[in-house]
Amino acid sequence: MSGYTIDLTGVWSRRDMLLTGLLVTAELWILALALGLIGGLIVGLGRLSRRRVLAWPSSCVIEVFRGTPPLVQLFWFYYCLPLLFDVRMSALTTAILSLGLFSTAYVGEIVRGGIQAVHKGQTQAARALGLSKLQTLREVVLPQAVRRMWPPLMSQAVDVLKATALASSITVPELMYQTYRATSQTFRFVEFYTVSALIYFAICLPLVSRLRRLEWRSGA
Amino acid sequence: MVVVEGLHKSYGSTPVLRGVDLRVAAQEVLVVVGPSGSGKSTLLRCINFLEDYDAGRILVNGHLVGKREVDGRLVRDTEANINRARAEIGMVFQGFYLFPHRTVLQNVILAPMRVRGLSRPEAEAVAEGLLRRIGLLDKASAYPEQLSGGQQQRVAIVRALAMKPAVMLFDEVTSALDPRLVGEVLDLMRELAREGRTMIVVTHEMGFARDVADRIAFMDHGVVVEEGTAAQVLDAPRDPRTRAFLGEVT
Repeated sequence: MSGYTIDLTGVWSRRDMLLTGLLVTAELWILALALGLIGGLIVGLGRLSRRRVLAWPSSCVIEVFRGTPPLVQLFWFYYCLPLLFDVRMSALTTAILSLGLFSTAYVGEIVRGGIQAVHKGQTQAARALGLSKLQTLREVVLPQAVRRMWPPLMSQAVDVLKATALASSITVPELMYQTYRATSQTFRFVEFYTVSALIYFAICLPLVSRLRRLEWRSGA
Repeated sequence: MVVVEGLHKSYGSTPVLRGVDLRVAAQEVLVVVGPSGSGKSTLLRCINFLEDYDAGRILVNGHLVGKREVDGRLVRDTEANINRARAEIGMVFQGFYLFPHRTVLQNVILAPMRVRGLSRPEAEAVAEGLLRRIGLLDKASAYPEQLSGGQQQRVAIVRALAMKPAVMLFDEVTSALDPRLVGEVLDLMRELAREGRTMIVVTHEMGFARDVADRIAFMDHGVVVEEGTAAQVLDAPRDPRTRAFLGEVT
């Protein structure tokens, strides 16, 4: 070892900075996930539609947001959107929107995969009973698809949480941003970045372990 | 009750039905037999419009199924009308297709509630009556995976019956079953035939066909080759294709 002495007093005295950051992280995470779930359901169903006007835009959203780095997406929304369309949004709103679309793309693929994994006979049996397309989707296909979608959705939630740290680069005062600010005041890099990593890990851990149980149960 | 006229259907450039004509009167049981690939299943799937067809007409209870007439031409009907027509046609599949996330009772009451607009108590009363009849009332709150294949298929039959359909279609409903479970399903179908239900049955079970059929239609290469009573078609087939087929299966 290099003889570095760990000193956590700086971390303790700036705990409310970290707490403030954690709350912003939570807000960003939950709202981006919510947006991603709603958007993902729409583009996932859209992509499966036989109507081109629905399928084509859905495919575009999915491919563009899966095929570009989330950091580039974030910068594009933060710097380019105001110039091109004259929209003014706070950094936090920009990050929620950007990460929300990022997870929309992935959730969209999870939704599509979940629905396609439901046996075609299920739809046929429902339609043969006289159920409409919408009733068949709501009562028969989605409930079965959602069961298969749980494990990848949890994994997606973990990915979005980790991606929230990128928002620090457009000055969103979330956990990573506050950690960085604290190190520039104290130069206690090891302490702050380690504590910050542990906080992220502590949030992910229950999700990851729940995920493992789900995968074990579904035999995956 | 069911009228099929000049029914044509192709998958791409492969013709599956090449002009099928059939009539099934009320309370009649028509059994359709024939080699695999002869178009039997496709015929059933056209009758409840799970498959669109290229030419011809299908009438159930005097109403066109899946199509309506506009300026003398047949065009695809609205979704709502197609759904309404399907509600009058019960179908049972080879693969059962019970809804695995719903209990037996929930499987049976779904369509009566959502399509017929029955209240839950009304739908449950109908469902419990039917389940009692097939001796599976004690399984009402079980999930399909907890039942044997024969039990699942009998629930699937009851699920279709709960809609009080005008006609029941059976598409090789015993083909996926363990041989020792075939009997219970055929017994139930015999019972339905005896109580005067209108049925179209596609099957490979020749003994069963002889038992229940008022008439038998033999299909080959997308056409009805021969049609008549069981005695006519099974015992004295006139067409060499029928003879060849019966020679293979018996």
